[in-house]
Amino acid sequence: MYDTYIYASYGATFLPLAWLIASSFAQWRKAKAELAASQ
Amino acid sequence: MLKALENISAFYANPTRFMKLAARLHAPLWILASALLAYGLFRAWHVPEDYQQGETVKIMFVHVPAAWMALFGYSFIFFASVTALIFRHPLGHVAARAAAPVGATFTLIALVTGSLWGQPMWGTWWVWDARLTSMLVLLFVYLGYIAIWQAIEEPTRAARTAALLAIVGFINVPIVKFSVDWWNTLHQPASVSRLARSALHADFLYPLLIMGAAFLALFLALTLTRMQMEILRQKLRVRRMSAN
Repeated sequence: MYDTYIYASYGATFLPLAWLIASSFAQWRKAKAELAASQ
Repeated sequence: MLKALENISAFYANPTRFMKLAARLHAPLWILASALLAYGLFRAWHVPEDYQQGETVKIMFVHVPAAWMALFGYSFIFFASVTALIFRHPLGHVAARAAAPVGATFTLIALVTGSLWGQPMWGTWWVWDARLTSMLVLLFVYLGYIAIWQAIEEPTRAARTAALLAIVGFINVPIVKFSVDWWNTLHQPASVSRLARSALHADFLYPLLIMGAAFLALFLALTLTRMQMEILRQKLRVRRMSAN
C-alpha cells in the first residue's frame, strides 16, 4: 500500500547522491587534466 | 592530546602534504563507504514491519541519517571556517567550501524524504512546525553559503564573507536539534540519544546506526574528493596568474 512512498524516498536519496558523486569526480578529473595541460 | 592535534593540523597545513595524505585515504574511504552502504541497505530492507508504521518505517533508514549529516555537515563547515578565520589554517576555507554542496544535498534529502514519510503517517506533505521550518532555513543557509563563493570573484574576499556567514548561520543548528524539545511540534522527539536509552528496538536501531555510519563515510569521502579538486583548482589559478 505504501510501496510508492518507500521507493520514492530511496530514489530521492540515491539519485541526488549519485549525481553529486558523479559531478564531484568529473570536476576533480577536469581540474587534474587542466593542471597537467598547463605544465 | 590537544598538542598532538595541533601538531598534526600544522603539519597538514601544507597543501602538498595534505594532497599526499588525501591520495592515500581516497580509495579506502570510498571502499568503506560503499561496503557500509551495501550492508546498511541490506539490513534496512529486511527489518520487520513496525506495529504502527508498517512498511513505511523503511523510510527512517534514509531520512534520519540524512538529517544527521545535514547537521554534521554544517557543524563541519562552522569549525572549518573558525579554523580558517581565527587560526588562519590554509585548508579551513577549502574544507568548508568542499563540504557545502555535500551538506546541502543531505539537507534536501532529509526534507524530501521527510515529506514522503509525513504524507502516509501524518496525512500531510508539509507543516510549518519548528523542526521542518528550521530545517528549511538550514537549506537556505547552505545555498547562501554556496552562492557567496559563486558571486564574489576575488577568492580572499569570498572566503572571508562565506566564513562569516557560516559562523553566523551556525545559530540555526541548535535550533534544528532542540526544536522538538523547545516547541510543541508534529515532528516526533529524538528516538536515538547518546545520553538516554534509545526508544528504538534493536531490530531497527542497528540498521539505522549502520546507515548513519555509511552516510558519515560517504560525507567524508565526498568532502575529501572535493577538497582535492579545490586544491588542484587553486594551484591552476596560481599558475595561470603567474603565467599572465
